[in-house]
Amino acid sequence: MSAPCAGSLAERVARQLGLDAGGVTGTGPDGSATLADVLWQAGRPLPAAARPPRPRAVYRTGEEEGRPTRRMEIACDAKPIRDACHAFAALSTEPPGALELVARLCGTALRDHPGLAEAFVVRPLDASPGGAGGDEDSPAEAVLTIAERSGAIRLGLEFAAGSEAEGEAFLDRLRTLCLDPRRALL
Amino acid sequence: MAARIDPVADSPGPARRAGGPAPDRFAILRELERKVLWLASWTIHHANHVRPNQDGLKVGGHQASSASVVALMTALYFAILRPGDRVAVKPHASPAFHAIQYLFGRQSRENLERFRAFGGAQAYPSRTKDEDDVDFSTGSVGLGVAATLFASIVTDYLRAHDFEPRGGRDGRMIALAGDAELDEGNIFEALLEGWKHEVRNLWWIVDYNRQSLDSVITDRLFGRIDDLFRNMGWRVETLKYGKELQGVFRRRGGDALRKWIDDCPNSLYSAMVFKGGAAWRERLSRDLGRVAGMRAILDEFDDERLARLMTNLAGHDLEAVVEAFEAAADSDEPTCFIAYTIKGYGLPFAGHKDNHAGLMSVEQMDELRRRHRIERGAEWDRFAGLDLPPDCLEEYIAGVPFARAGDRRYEVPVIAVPEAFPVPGGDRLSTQECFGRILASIGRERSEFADRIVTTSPDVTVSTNLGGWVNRRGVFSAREQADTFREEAVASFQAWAASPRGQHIELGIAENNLFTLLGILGLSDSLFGQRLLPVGTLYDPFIQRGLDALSYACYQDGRFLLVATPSGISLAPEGGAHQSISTPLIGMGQDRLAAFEPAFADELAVIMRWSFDYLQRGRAGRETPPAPGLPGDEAGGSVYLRLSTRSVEQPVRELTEATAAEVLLGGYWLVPPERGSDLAIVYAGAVADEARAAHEAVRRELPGAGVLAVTSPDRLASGWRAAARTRREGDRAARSHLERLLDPLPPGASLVTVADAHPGSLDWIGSAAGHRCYPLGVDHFGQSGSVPDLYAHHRIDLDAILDTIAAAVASE
Repeated sequence: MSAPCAGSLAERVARQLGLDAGGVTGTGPDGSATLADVLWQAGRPLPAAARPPRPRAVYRTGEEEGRPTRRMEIACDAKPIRDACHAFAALSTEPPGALELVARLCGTALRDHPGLAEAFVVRPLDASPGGAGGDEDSPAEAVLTIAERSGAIRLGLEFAAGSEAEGEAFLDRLRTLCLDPRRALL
Repeated sequence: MAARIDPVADSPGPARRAGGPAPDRFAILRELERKVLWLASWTIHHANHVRPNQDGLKVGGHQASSASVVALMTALYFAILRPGDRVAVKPHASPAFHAIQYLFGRQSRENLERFRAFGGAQAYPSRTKDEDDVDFSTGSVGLGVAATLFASIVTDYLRAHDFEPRGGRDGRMIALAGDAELDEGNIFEALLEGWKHEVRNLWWIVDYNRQSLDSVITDRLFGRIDDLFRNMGWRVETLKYGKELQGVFRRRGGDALRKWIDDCPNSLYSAMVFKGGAAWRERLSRDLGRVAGMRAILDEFDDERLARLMTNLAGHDLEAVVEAFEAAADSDEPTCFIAYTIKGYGLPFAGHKDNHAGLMSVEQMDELRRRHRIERGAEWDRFAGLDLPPDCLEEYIAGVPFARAGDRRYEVPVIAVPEAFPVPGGDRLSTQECFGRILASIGRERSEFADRIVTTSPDVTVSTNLGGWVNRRGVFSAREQADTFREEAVASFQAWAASPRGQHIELGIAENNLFTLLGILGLSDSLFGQRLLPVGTLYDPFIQRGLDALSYACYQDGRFLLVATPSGISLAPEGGAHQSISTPLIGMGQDRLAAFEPAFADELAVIMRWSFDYLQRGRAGRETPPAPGLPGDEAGGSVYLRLSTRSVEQPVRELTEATAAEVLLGGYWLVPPERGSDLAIVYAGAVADEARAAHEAVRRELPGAGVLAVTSPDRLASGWRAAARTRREGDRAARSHLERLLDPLPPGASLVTVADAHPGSLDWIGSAAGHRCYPLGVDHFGQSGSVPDLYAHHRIDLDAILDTIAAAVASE
């Protein structure tokens, strides 16, 4: 793949707007001007594409080993394919109330990642008061760790004998933690 | 006006119908010749002077061009042709062809009445538009002629592979060509290729009327034609003088008359033909009056008979024509008949240099009607005005071997295509390399599918990655040819042994030949009852070199897989001459040709697998393919793959069925955009790396931006237009794949499109759902350089994409 060219997007937009990017007050990590800074300086709104992405969930029903299953696929980021490792995890509700993620991994980077399978084991949702949010030791945070370390960007949850609502509840927790780009992937 | 040639004058007349002996073959053929001339002329007249004219434009129809071949075609169709023969009729003889089919009962009066009108008999014989028995579509002169040569090669190929052609092993491929048609360069390209492949069972009948569209052709062209064909190993039969003239030549003064005609410039001869008997007398008296015996000849013939004598050319003499054709039938040598004729023979403008587009006036047509003894209202009667009783003619026609052939469009079973093609592995691959590896893997299989594939290339077999296939399946040749380099132990990756069992037809570097051959290979099921799966390769820029032949191959519904590679500016060091710009637009615009430009190996594998199925659809009652597909997919067609030698990074993924279906519909989100996002990068083909790199570069600040992979601008556009049409017709809910793809993007969102091709191949996408388009592409001739040089020069590199994204953001 080609090497990135000189000039961040913010600098290029600044040129288009006739601004000196160096003169724009920057809020970037290193003090540089971000796209938002440039556009704010120019009195332009932030484009919709600049808003954080929301995870998408797609439900599919099927049958596996004679049991009805549901698959919930979550795509939350858009990294180039080469960097994107796809993790498919089975979310089981057996015994009732318990969630166990069993990794089914596609992609060499994730497959070869040491200790990955263990990281996918989570505790029952209801075992953590208040859900999975915020707690460093929560199961969801473990998923977050995976995402950061491996660059995983897609998580598929497959749960047997569970409900769509149950999956949505878990998804909500993931949204607040590992799939929020401000807190997780970025 | 002086007396003119009039074949009807020889007619015995109604008084001699009854009570005589059974008519001989030539008496019947002459009657049919008269009727073909009448019907062809009347069909054109009806279209121009009888049928209401809706737009005030001339309809046309080429009465003169039809008239010059009436005897040749009458002899062919009613005396010579066998069921296995296939004929390319010169385009301007279409009315004569339809008239013959009408006499055979294979053309309707309704269609003749609508000649050149919507839904009626076509101006030029068409396999796909006409209802009668057209073997090869003609119209762009030269292409039909060459098609017969390649049909001859195809029948040899079929026989060599034990795919017996239906209709008989001895079918002859016959072209009826105009003399001016031989000016077309593709004729000569084909001739040389035919010599290499030792063509046989091939007849080209040159209608040597010495007139072109504009005027009279160069004198003594026949000599050059004669030499040319003999040099190519053909037998040449010249049909110059009719029986009556030959008889006069044997008389005293005959030699001088013959020499006079032989030396007569084409223009003078044509002018004299037009002027008629009195003019002939005056001219011959002046030039030959002192030749012993000449006066007696001139005195013996009145003006009308003299005109007939001086135009008694063999091409209008049924006995001479049939005799020549029958004599040639005992050999499979390729044969060129140079048949002397007169343009407009039997019509009032015979010989006039301006007669090509000429039409008889109402008065002239009335006079012709009178001469043909046809009552008003009986113009379409199959046998009105003829001397022999209809039942006699009907009986003869029913007994003609060609008429007994039945339906000559064959239906054959579909060849099963493997469920999936292997996806070549590797981190960085080019689509050209993947094509070669997929085909080579097919070549390793023992299957009917692999056996029915035939590849061809105009001297770019190796450089388009067909080598692996050829190594396994061999080069086709009428006879065994050793691979000398291998026998001499000279190392080479490429085996080049040729044999009758080979499955690759190597052509010289002539793209017209490639497309003409592909078209005929792809008609093998319908023409010869044996299905072949043709694959042709060439460099993408040279599609334009043979574009007319490609269009005709599609027009007559030949089915083939065209692999054009490299494309775009891949051949960067070779400069603009070897770089293609507008070919995706050809892919979008060419009917019956589905065009794809994949970027990745897995996309290509899916497309190739689909292609071999698509080639076979719409014939032999093939069932409608399962959804999803585009409207019209069930009819099938040919496929064009625009590939590249540029390696791109391959995705690590297992292509899902859903994505594979999207690949075939023309595109999918490589990176889905966030719903409501106002930016997407849209790319096609070899610039995938640049598109993905650009996305990566802006991902942090524009995380909602998507990347749309377009695998087929052609099919995306087709689907979009089809949905729009369906909505106009009342189904308001109809939506195309493209519109569904673009759903997440609100109106006004920006699309940055990029292709190593003319930007017009993608920029139309902005119209589909009201988006703003920022097109990047190549829109002027290329030049030498490296790929990075040229990508930067043409502004399709990463820097250009990022600048364009910035411009889009800045203009919000």
